[in-house]
Amino acid sequence: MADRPDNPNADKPETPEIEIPDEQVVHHVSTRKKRKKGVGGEDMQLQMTSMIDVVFLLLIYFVITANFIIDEGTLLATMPGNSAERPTDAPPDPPIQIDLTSSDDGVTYNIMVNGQRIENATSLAAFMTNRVQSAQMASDDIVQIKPQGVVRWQHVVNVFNACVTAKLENVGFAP
Amino acid sequence: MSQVTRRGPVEPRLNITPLIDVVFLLIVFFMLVNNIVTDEQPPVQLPDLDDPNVYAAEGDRRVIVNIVPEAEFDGELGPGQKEGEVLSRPGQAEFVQVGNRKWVIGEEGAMEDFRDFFGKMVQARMVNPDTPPNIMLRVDAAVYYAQVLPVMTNLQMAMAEALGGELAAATPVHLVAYQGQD
Repeated sequence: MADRPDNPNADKPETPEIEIPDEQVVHHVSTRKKRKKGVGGEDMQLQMTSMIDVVFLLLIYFVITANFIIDEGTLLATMPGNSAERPTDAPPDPPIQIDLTSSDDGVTYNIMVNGQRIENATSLAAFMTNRVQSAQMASDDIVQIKPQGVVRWQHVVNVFNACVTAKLENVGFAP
Repeated sequence: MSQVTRRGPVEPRLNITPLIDVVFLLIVFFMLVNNIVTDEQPPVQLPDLDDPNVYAAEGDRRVIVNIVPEAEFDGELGPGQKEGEVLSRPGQAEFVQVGNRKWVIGEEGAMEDFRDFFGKMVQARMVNPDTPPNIMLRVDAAVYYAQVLPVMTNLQMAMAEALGGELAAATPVHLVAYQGQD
């Protein structure tokens, strides 16, 4: 403070205090505050009602249109007319033929393996497994299923499945 | 976004317009997907096997050939339905369906058309030049074999034409049945 240049007003007489009445005093309000407040001047609120309505609508739509698909599995088959290729050049053995015929009432059916009658698909599976294990047939022998025209697809696939259970690899349909 | 400034915390504001856009997009997406899936796989009562040895086919490239029977299918799909009930329905097939196209078996020219279309579908859905898609044969359990046999032979012919003899002979067809309850 000692190094400051002399205050030119130091020796001037004190200016008298002027009283200004309160209503004429201007309080300075920064413009930044004004901008922040926004047009409404109030805080915005989140309207959840509409969103909940839409979500419930979606939920109801999908609940009504949902249909539960039961798992579908597949069995590999060769089609009739497809000449299955044998790995070796050995003369082809006649394929093992499974005949499926339908009895008169259209519901029960008969399975014949090379002339031998089998009760149903489960015993067919056992029969085939037996033959493979006792080396009467190999697991890659060609097996052809030849159903009669009136046999229902249910039985055809059941027999097919029985062959697959017996671990036979070349199961197909007779041309 | 909440900010703390010198003047104190600011109220967070959530703009829900993009949220509504996303919700509508989801609605439209699921409606379209639903339609495409129900087109390819019409409701069919599949064979219910005694001891299912089926497995789930891998790969999502597939062509599904459906044989739908004449009987009004009431939509009650289910394994474990008694054989008598399933098989007392008439066994005449109403049509063969691939995608959303249908052909009546035995109608003149239907099988050629089917072969043609099927061949094109297979070629269009090849996984790569030497891997064909999974071909799935979805036949109702009550259909007579006499109706399925022409479809199978035509299927094989179409595959031989589309893929060439060797590849066609090496491509199996998947027969679809219920997986059974665990």
